[in-house]
Amino acid sequence: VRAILQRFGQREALLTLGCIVSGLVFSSLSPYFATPDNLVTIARNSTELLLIGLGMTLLLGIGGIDVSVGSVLGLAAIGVGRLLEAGAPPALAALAGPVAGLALGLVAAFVVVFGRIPAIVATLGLLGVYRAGIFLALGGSWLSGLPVGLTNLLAARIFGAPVSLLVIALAYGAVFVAVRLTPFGAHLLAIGHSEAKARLAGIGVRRVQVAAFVISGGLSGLAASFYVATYRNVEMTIGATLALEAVAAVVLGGTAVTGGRISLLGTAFGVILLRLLQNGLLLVGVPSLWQPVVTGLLLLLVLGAEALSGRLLLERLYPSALGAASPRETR
Amino acid sequence: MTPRVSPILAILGLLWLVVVAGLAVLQPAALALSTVTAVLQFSTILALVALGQALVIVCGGAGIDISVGGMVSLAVVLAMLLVKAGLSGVFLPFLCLALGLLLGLVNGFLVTRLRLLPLIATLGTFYVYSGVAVALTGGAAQAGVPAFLLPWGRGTVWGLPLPFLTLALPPCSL
Repeated sequence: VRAILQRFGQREALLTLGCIVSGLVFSSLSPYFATPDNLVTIARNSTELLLIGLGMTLLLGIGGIDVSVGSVLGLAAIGVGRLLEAGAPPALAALAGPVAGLALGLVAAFVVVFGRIPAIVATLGLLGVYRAGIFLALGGSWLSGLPVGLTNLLAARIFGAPVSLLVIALAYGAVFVAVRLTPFGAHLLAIGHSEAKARLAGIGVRRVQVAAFVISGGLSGLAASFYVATYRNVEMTIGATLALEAVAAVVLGGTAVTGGRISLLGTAFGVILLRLLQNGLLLVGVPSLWQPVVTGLLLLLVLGAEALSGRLLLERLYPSALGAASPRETR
Repeated sequence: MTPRVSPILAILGLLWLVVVAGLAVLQPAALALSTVTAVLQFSTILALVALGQALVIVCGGAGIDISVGGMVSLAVVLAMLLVKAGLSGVFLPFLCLALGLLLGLVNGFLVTRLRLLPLIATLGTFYVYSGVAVALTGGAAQAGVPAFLLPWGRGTVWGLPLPFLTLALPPCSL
């Protein structure tokens, strides 16, 4: 049964299928959808969420979460923007994003790991503080019309590929290697399964947890540099929806929120499907106000369908196994 | 066993005193009866939502409902739209209540029947509820609550707002 269920858990295939089907539907409905320009737009709109989603995958993997990542992006973006305004070299500004993100990731790690506050509560608190920080730093107005130096730097192409794509590939590649080929990955998943057992097994639980938060923060900061490079402004509501969108995309990708199971490829596909749907629906004429509804329905449909198919399969094969199959049934 | 005040309640009480003392020093004018009225007026909504959230969290099993904000807006928006469509305003409170129950039922179904994790199921419904509420109204506030309902929302008795007296006080004093 586990093998069959795992095959059903091949979320990557399902998401690819979803991308292809919705791509076909949208291109038949709108002549603008399948144009190179629009595909570049979708890729471009996915950049920040791809980076933040990668960090969120690791955090959910250890059974943690960080709901403040969107605001980390916001604060880092303000830093990058202020540096640009002050005439700093673009390369320095580009670096400031990830550095600020790493620092804020360390703060989250400190509060959660050493303060022993549940991740969702602690990062909710940080979210409030950071939002207020963004408000104070911007003073109610926008940073806008920022110098183009950073935009030119990050829009550059290396061997024909945009920098953002290379950075994303590099980030995913690095995390993939770390998760698959180093003990870090095994430790990460072990902690996600059971923190207590991981500790008994001699794993430096705190070290891995801190690493996950810091990596996530750094990636959010990196996303901030790309954000500023693309939009050349920083608004009050920057990143407000990103954290929840990241959780949605990561969970769509097959990562377990309870920890212990992650899928990097699934995260990438989840993000792209989300952005593709948002873009396609807009082109088809659905007002952008409906976008969150689509995000929510997508999440519920995919997980609901999986839950249903898993249960029906179990009921048919092992009528008595149903109780044992779901650990949450024990109340 | 002697009854003991929980440390969290003690800290909350302390914070409360600090805020009041801070106000007294920095902005003595804020310590008027009208402030109490205003604070209670706003805290009634939060108190009711938090009361329900407490039930969900107390149930354990990683129970949490992050869709409550969207639920409040969708219930009230749908009820208002129905009233605008010609339904009598008398039904407004009951409509809100019934719609809230219905939206909660959806969450309950997702969590208990489909066995989705509460965090994820209500994340999904949060998007749907709040998104539908905003999309249906185009983000515009809905005016036109029947006049006879206004005193219930805005009225006060000895400086205490009516919604607080009728809705927040009774359940919270249990």
